[in-house]
Amino acid sequence: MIDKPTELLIAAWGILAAENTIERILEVVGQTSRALCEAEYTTIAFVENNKLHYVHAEGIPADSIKKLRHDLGTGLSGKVAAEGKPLRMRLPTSGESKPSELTNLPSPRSVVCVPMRFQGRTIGTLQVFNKLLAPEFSQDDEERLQTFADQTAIAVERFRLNERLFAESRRIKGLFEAMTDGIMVVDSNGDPLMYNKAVESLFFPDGRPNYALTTYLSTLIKLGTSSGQAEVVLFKPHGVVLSNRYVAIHDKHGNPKEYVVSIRNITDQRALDRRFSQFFAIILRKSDRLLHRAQKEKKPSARRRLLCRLSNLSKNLVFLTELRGGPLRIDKEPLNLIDIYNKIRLRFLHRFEKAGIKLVDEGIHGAPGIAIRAQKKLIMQVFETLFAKGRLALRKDEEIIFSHTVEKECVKVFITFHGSNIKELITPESFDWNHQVDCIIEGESRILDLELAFIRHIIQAHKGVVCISKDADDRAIVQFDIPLDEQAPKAQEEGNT
Amino acid sequence: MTLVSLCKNTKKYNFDKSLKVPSHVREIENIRQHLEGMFDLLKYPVKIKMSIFLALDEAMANAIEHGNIAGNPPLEVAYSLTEHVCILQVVDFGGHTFNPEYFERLATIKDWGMGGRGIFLIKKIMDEVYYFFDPGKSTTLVMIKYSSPEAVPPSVPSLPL
Repeated sequence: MIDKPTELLIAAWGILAAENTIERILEVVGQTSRALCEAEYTTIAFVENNKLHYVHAEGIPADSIKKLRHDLGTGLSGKVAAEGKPLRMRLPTSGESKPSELTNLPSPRSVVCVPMRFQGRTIGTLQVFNKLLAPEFSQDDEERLQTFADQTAIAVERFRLNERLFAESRRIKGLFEAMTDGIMVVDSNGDPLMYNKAVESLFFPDGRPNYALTTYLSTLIKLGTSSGQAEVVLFKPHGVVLSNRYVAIHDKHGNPKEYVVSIRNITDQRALDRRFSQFFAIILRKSDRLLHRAQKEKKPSARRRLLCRLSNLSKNLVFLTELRGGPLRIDKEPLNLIDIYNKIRLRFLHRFEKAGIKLVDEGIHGAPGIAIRAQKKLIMQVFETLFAKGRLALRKDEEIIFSHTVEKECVKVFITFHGSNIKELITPESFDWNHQVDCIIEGESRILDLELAFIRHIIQAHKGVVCISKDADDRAIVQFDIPLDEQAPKAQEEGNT
Repeated sequence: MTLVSLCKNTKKYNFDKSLKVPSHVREIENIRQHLEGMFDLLKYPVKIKMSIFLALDEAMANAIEHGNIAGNPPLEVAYSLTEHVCILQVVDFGGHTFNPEYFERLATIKDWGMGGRGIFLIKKIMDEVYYFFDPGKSTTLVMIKYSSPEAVPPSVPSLPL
């Protein structure tokens, strides 16, 4: 035959073992301790940061203990919490002073206060007040309450552990989701146990079902190694390249239990690497064909033409290498832009005249010098390239116009090509080397000409800007700005030519 | 994340049959004959059957010609067949990684040089194509074809476990 207190304890343990909300745990603890000791009311306090916080009351209004807290070692329950030993006493009803924490409680006459202990540590206290039908609590009441308090401590700690685990799990899930790379944990059967959104978007683009993940996991698990890395091409319908690393987690018998797989989408990186491999393969194949033809060619003039094309290809490959290599390294020196222009002008004047092309640059004569800091050879290359393009693109009676304006910090140079053939030869795309590389790779263009792209590279290296505009079908204006030499004496005056 | 979870229905699948095949082109015909009866039994349309054979021919030819270079180790050909889906796997043990996309385009762009026809055809013919590279060890090509356009799964289909 089980006595009533034991029956109460067993019932309470059953409930506490299953409860997952702290409010319900406290309610059960309050009700049970009250019934267990036949007390008028009960209070529960927890230790937090060296203070005792009252969290629950049963049998009195909750407001009586609201915000009640005191230091460990002070007051009745503070002493119990600090020493970890129970305290049972009859309280003075009048005249003598009561412990401070009891002043808010309704007429306390007797009390048992026991510590809630977990693994040798006091996590709180449990108090019952005013024994019903007796002036004070007995030794039996104290022992029963202590047994129950220890059990309560386990339930509370279990709840707290669950809370911590839940928070930790949410944190890990947050980390998982924040990752742009896919990460997943699968069991040895290939069942996904944990995974982030990136996995879903990598394997199921547009939410369409397919066998990719199943096939992927089957292949991965079949490898049977403890760790490794592999490359996967989900060729159709995904069109992505994945790089994955995996680690097997073994059970105590050494059998693989779970696999942690990290998946990175390397499609763009691979595409970039291979883009240039493909490009160089195309150009080298072209060069090889040209060389072969030149070796076989008997006519010296034809051979010269082939060799000239071969030389152009090599020159463009050098340009491309420089363009890919990042900003051009330059060695600046003080220069006069007008002098440089005149040098190139002299070189081309005869050629333009011979072809009947008009060079319109009257304003340049007598113009004051324009001081810039630049690498002479490269600035000469800019003019030379543009004039050479003009010579190729323009026909008889068509014109090339040079003008410039000096502004506060830079000089703006305009070279206008006016001719019927301009629209194909001098285009915004011809300044974009990436576009040209793509056209060659895609087979849309057979001619590689990076000269104009390279002059943009030169101007950018001098902290200038290049742009091309077309105000009519037969007119293209190439404009480039170069910063003025700030250290030069203010010889140049603002003005237009 | 329903689609990933649905993979639980498919789990790690094992192929119905896995064959070790000598690395020689004459074996392509043997594999064809081996599969032909099964396709007929499952009532695969002739057009689908021929498409699968063409893709298999190309995959095996690639594995034999380009995959196995050192010592010509045998290939592994595995398959799983249901009335709705055919999954074929060809494994060579050369362990060379490559970019199938490059070879696919090689077949279409004149300037790029020779090759790539096989990969181009496989991609064109099959519904799903996956390459798994274990560098220095093996290259696995998995090709999946549904028996009819209607057989494309509304959700991830069940496979033999």
